[in-house]
Amino acid sequence: MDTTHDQITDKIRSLLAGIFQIPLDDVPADMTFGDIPQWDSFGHMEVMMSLEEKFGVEISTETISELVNIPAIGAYLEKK
Amino acid sequence: MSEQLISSQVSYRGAVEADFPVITAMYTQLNQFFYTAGYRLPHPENVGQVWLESFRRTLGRFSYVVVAEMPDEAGVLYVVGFMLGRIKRVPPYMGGVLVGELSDMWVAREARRLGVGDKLSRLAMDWLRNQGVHSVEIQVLRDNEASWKLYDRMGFKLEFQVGRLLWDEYIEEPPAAN
Repeated sequence: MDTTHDQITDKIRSLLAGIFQIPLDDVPADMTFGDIPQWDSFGHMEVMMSLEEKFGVEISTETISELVNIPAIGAYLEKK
Repeated sequence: MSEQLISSQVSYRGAVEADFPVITAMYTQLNQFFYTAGYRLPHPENVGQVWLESFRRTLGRFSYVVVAEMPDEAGVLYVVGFMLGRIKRVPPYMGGVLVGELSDMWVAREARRLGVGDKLSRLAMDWLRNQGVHSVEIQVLRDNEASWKLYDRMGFKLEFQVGRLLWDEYIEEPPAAN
């Protein structure tokens, strides 16, 4: 098991549960833009804003369009 | 005082926290106007505050409010209008790009017909362009012809129309053929 990978995934799941105000158990590790009504066009920008604040990164315009599921977000953060 | 002179006294800046009470009150008036112009979604309590909370977290990064001010009789500036610009990411099947939206605008009665709406819109457009969005959208209510004229002048092209059916209006059976 890759502990760091799993820890980052859990942090992202926890972040999304907080933003979307849903139980952590309702955030699968592969949750994707559009899976729930809250993760819509504007909800996505809240996700990006929260990622920047929590992980201290600045996400470029191009990358914002690519970080559309938890695995993609995790892979991006692992490289940072 | 001439309209041109009054217009020259209007100034513009990005909104700060201290503007929020005035802006939410203006949005409440705007929301009331919606219902006279074809809007049919439910009216929530504290609509101004609910509206503010929908973008407050992203303000400055993915949303921007520009306000217009003019001096009162004592020369003190007060807010006479605002415009909200927002950025959203459209779904992958629509290209997955970032799109700007001129979201909501209100101009107080005493500041109308001075070009304030045009200036607020163009300042919001400037901000959206600097954010690198693919394009900018505007939603205009069915009966708000003045607003559509403004955006038509700016170069916006009608792309689609939105309809809404309330269940008591649903025609389940087509009319019988003669």
